[in-house]
Amino acid sequence: MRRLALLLASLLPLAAQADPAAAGPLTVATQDYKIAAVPMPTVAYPIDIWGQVWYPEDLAKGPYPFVFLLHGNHGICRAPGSMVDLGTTSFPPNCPPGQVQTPNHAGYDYLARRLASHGYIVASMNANAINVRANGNPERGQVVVEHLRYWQAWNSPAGGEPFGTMFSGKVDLQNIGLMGHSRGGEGVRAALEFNRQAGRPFGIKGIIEIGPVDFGRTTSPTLVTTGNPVYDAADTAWSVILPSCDADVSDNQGMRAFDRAFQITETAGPTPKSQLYILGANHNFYNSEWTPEDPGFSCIDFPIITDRPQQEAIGTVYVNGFMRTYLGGEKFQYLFHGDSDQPTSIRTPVAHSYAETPARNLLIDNFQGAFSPMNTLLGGPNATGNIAAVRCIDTGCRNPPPAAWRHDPGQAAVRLDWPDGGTGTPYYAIHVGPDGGGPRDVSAYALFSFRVAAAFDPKNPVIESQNFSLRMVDATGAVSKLIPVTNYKAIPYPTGYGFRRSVLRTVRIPLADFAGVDFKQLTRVDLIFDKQPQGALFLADVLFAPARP
Amino acid sequence: MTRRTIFSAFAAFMVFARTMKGAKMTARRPKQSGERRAESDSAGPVLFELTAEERWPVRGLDPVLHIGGTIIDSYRFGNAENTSLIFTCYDASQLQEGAAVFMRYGQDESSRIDFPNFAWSTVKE
Repeated sequence: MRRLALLLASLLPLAAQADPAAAGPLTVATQDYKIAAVPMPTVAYPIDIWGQVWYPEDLAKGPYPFVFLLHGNHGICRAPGSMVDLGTTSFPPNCPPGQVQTPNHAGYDYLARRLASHGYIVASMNANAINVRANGNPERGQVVVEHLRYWQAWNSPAGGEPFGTMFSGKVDLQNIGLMGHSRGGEGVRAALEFNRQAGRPFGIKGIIEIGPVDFGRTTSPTLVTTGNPVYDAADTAWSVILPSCDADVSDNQGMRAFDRAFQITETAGPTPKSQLYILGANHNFYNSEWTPEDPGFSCIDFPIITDRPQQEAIGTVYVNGFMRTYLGGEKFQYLFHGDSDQPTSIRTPVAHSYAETPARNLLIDNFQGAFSPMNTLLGGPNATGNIAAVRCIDTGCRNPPPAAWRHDPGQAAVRLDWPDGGTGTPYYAIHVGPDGGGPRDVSAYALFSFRVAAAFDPKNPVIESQNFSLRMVDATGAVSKLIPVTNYKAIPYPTGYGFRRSVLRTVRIPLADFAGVDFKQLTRVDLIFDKQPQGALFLADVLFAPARP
Repeated sequence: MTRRTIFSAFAAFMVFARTMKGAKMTARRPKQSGERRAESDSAGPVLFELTAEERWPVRGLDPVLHIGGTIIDSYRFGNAENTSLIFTCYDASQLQEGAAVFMRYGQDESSRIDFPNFAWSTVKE
């Protein structure tokens, strides 16, 4: 137990940081809105434009940034006073006599009210009209855009019902943030795409998703093909919160969208992408209208958060921190790159993955190359000693159940297993230069970055973190000191709901920590497996990155 | 016991499944005019109704009925209590006699519920 406590302590925040969950100075008002029976081009029946808005009571200081929230698939009817939500048998969906509509959109009051107190107008949409049916995520995106069009009208000098001119000129629709939960996640990504196709009439500066689906990327023959396009988060700051104990979107589909962020083409930027894998968090507690997880649910290895306020604090920190960083220009980037401790209100470990806009990085290897893992993407020859290095992709990275690899089907990695029958210290040396073995100038970069995950394998320690050392070598033969990876991030044994997921997390090490080598003529980075007698790791996305924002 | 043996036992223990109390499946063909079809007539749809003593949850992942290699993802609730879930297979020619039948939400193996193998003789007119 002592070792477990030490590991947990190493994962938890050590020092207080600025916390975006704190209440702001502004008094907040809120109001419902509903425009009945609006025709939608891709929905077979008219739907209500229904939502709730939270805003600073003193609108005179506007315009304010606009944040739009979209819930996911959930029951839409309940008995008065009940929290048991049900689907309906009819379309358009109507609740039977004796039941009322579930206010799914109201479940984000806890974070919306807090964000509005910092000078944001926050609207949350009710999607009951397109819930309790298969897929429906492109339609969700269409309805989000339709809501934005209504807000455009309410922001115009003429205004419109039900608000009159109350919001005229008060809503900054060129500074929009979207939050989508569950199917709402893919829904807001769809809205981003529809906005792009329309010539970007709305300025969507950031998207954060919670436990999202990614139906467009279900390529395996054993899966349902929804026909959705693959929605990526190009040209906008983007983050995804993945609950490790998600009993609903139990395959953490949102990590696929993050994996793709390393490869998407962007014209705007910088638009960083991040992934926050929250240990112990569940799917439903991020919406206060949603009842607890499936009672048959349990979470492997790590206790599920049973305290709803604790999880709402996580939602408040990251959603509000995201909006205040990427819309408001405040300095909460540390919440997303994870290079420093998280605020004390986050009482559970968070595994970060982070990617700058691809064009800002120097990608050494993503293990996609034909000669991987013994040559990098750039051609440089790698070397190994007493270690098995095998490239894998998609199902090739999976162990038999209960091990799981839920990354994007296009995500490649190298699996490193040591020892490999020898007696020497195992190593994997990554050549950073071009084909032919020459050096490379990396002095324009500030960080060495890679993603790593422990495999579900008895060679790895179960309680303590896996560990290894790194060093750099330059063309003169100068060698930096050895640095243990756990100085920066723990590499814990796989956890997760139902299956043990190997989730890649980002390790970012300042180049300054590799003092003693000439970064203008760097030849290689050595991974030396001298900390544990045996182990099995996945390594991915090895790159040099610019300084922290 | 070796470390690997302990590990394997632990691994086997960890794959678990939720259950739906009283889950049953019935199949029927929607009423249509004209002569009665042969049992294995492949024309037209077949409805599969899954009933249980508790409600089928509404989740981010859709419920999907698998009959052999056939994936049936068109569904609706059959009653207001959500204890009935009706899947529609629009092309009955895809249904193979003796095929294994299960339902699960998306890829969530822990939600998987197995039913008796498909038999045309159980499809009611």
